Amino acid sequence: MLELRLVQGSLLKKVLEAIKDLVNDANFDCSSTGFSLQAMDSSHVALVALLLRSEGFEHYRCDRNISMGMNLNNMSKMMKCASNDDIITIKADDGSDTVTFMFESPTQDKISDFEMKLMDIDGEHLGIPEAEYHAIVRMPSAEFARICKDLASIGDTVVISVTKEGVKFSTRGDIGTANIVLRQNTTVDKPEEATIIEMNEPVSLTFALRYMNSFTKATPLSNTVTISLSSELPVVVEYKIAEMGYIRFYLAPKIEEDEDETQPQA
Amino acid sequence: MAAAKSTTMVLRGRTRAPKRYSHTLFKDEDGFDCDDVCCERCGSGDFGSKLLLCDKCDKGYHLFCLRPILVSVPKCSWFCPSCSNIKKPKLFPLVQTKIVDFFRIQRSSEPTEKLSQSNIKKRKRAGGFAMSKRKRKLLAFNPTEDPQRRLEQMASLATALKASGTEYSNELTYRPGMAVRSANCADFEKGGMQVLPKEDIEALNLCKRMMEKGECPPLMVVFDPVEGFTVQADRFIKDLTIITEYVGDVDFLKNREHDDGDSMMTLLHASNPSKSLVICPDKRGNIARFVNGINNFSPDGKKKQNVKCVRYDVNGECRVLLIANRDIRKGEKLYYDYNGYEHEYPTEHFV
Repeated sequence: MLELRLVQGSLLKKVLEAIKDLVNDANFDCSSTGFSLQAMDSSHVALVALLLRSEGFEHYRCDRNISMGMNLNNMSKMMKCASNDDIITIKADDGSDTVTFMFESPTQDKISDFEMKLMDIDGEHLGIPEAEYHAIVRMPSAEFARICKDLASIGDTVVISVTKEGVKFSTRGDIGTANIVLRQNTTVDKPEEATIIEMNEPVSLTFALRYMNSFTKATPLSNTVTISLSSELPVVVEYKIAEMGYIRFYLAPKIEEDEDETQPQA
Repeated sequence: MAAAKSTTMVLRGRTRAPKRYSHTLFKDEDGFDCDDVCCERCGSGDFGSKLLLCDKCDKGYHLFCLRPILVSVPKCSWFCPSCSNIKKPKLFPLVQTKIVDFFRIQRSSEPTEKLSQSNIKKRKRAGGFAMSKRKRKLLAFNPTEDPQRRLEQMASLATALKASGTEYSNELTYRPGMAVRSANCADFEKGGMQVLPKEDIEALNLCKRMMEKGECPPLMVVFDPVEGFTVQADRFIKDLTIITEYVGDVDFLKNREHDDGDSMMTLLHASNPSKSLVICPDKRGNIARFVNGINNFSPDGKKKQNVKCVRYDVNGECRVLLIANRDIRKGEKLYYDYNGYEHEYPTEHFV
């Protein structure tokens, strides 16, 4: 028996909007720790990891660890039927092959329930090791979204380099090149507008902009975004979900050609 | 090129020895500074007239040691690669890695129950995921988009097949009098044969389906006066692309020992020699039989190789695939090593 009641239903709406274009079908895993999801996009270049901790729910009942396979497009269609201030409850019965989403208006005078069939999804979980990143950049999420959008109009890959001067986003395309440099900036009115760069080692990596632009769909979830970079590792773009958890996007970098091991020949 | 002065170097496009004078006029013992100059790449001081000196740093480079190779001494001033600040174009050959290259699949510690339409237990996944950071899967070829050009490619193959009296076939054929299909069993392979992974089988099937639709691999068969029929790439082919399968009639090696056909390809190298199989594309075949071999007696020959010929176990049968082993530019001729496995094929006279 599963019953999760989330007062700030808009968070779940925003989460779906953030991931439905990246991943088509995924398994939502419920355990005593919380409600989570880990899925790769169809090209296996990006990975999204979501966690909503059980403490963030007003009511969290999860008798057994379960995995619910859902088509994210369909789930998003249902989520769109909830108002931003609705309270969302997710329910599922043991042995059932459907999940129910209940939306209650704050004044309790409108109650909607939507039932969706679950899917059988072959999902393998990837182990993501804890890593010490060479550089971590924390900046306003709207700024990052703007940078990715602007650079995408010039080129299709972005080179992100962090040096002691700051973080530089560069791209090149048919019409020319573009470079955007951000320096550490803590003297701002609000802490969420600060740009903080922690650099252990200079690092420079290249990524496909179209994935970055689908990650920035999670911008409504948080004022700030944290970008962690390490050479030889995928970049982690993390949006914290207030008091509940996070949504992290991992993107594999583009690298130069390597000499491959030769296979035995005929 | 400015006229050579009577003494040593000309100031523009300098080489170690003046262009017109032969080596013997200037003995090494004459204390010209330039005599000590050696090529930065190969370290040799030979071929002085082809040893170019950088106008900025005075370092020497043979014309043929430079990349790209220079054909002749430039007329104007020349700067070596370090001094000339030409950025190596980096963008094009960048390869998109995959998430699975970095994170390995984890065996979940707690059993999770799946709520779904079918509560059938999933079949056991075999072992962990072998994490080799740079392992990339095989790619299906990218046919040329212009249908007109594809027709020209197919026509060039048809011409070559007609000239060699071969019928077109894109599959291994098992004719009466030769081997039967059941003789093609990968288990007989001495030492075992590598199995083609499932994803790569999909790529191979995609290649076959594309061929059936008329989307042939982007290759052109060209007749070269020296090498005979050769195959060249008609568009950029990425590393690890499946170019084609080596097909033909499958026969026992023992039946063909006295055959002097030059396109036989080992299909199965069995522990029991009477079970060994070869592919003979003399009567039936596809473009693979026209791809040239390299001269693997000379180091230059090995450099030309851009395709590798690999045998795989596909669903229990042996198959031979021609796979690109580096990025191949449009116009490049395809070469592979005939003797990749056994050194029996005489290739000394190959290009």
